[in-house]
Amino acid sequence: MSQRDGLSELFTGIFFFFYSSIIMTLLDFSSDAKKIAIFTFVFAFSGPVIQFIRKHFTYSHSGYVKGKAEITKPFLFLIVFPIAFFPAVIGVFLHIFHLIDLIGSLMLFSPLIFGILFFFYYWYQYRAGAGFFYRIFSFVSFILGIFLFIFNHLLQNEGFYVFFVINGAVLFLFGLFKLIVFMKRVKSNENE
Amino acid sequence: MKTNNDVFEQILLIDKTIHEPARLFIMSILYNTEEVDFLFLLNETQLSKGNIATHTKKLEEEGYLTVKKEFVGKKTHSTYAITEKGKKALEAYTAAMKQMLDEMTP
Repeated sequence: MSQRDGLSELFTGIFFFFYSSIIMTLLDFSSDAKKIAIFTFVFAFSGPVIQFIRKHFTYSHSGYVKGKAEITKPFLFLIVFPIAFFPAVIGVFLHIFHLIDLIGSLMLFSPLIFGILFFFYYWYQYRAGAGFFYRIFSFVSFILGIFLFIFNHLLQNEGFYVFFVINGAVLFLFGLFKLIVFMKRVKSNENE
Repeated sequence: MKTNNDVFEQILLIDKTIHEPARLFIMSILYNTEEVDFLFLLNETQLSKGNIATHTKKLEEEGYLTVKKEFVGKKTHSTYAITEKGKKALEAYTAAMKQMLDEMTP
C-alpha cells in the first residue's frame, strides 16, 4: 500500500546501480571515487528525499497512506544484512587480510548468491503485499543469478555488476511507471 | 453436518457493520495499513465523499476505527486508523464467512 506511488522502487533502482559500483570500486582502486560519494548520498538521503516528495507531491495529490512496518527481524538478518555487508566483507578480506583467492571465489559465486538473496528479497516484498510483479521479479532474479553465474567467466567475474544493473534498471522503470499511473489518479479535496 | 437452520443462525450472527460492502472495503484498507487520510480512501474506494463520511462515522461509533481531525490551513484533514477491536472484528468476520461458505458449498 505504502509503495503505490513507485518512489521506493525508483530510488531502490538508483541505489542498486551505485551499490554495484561500490563493489567495483573496492576491487579496483583506480575506479572513480565519485561513485562512493554518490552512493553515500543516495543511501543517506533517499529516505528523507522520498518523504519530502511524498509530502509535497504524491500525498497531496492522491492521499496519504502510512504502510505497516515492512521489515521483520528474520528479513533484516537473513536478506538485508548479507546484501548490505557484501562490499564490507570484500573490503575486509581484500584490503586487510589480502585473501585474494577467497575474493575470487566470492566474485565467481556472487551472481548466484545475489540471485538467491534477491529471490527471497522480492518474495518477501510480494508476501508483504507489494504486488504480483514482485513474484515475477523473484523468479526472474533467481534465473538471472544462475545465468550470470554460468557466464561469469565471460564477464570477467563482473556478473554481479550486470545483475545489479539489470535489477536496478527494471526497478527504476517499474517505479517510474507506477509513479505516472499514481499521479494520473484524480486529484480531489476533502472539503470540496 | 450442519442443518440449514444452523447456517441460517450463523448468517444472522454475522457482524452487519462490517458486512456492508463499502465498510468492508474501508476496513480491509485500514487493516493493511497503519493510517490513511480521507483523500486516499476517496481514491481507493471510488465512493462519494458523503458515503465515506457516513461509513467511517458508523465504523467509528462501533469503535472499529479512530479518526484524527486537524486543520491544514483552512481545510480539514482527517486521518483514519483501525483499532484493535476493529482488527479482531474483521478477522472474526472473515473467519466466520469462510467457515459458512465451506459449509454451504457441497
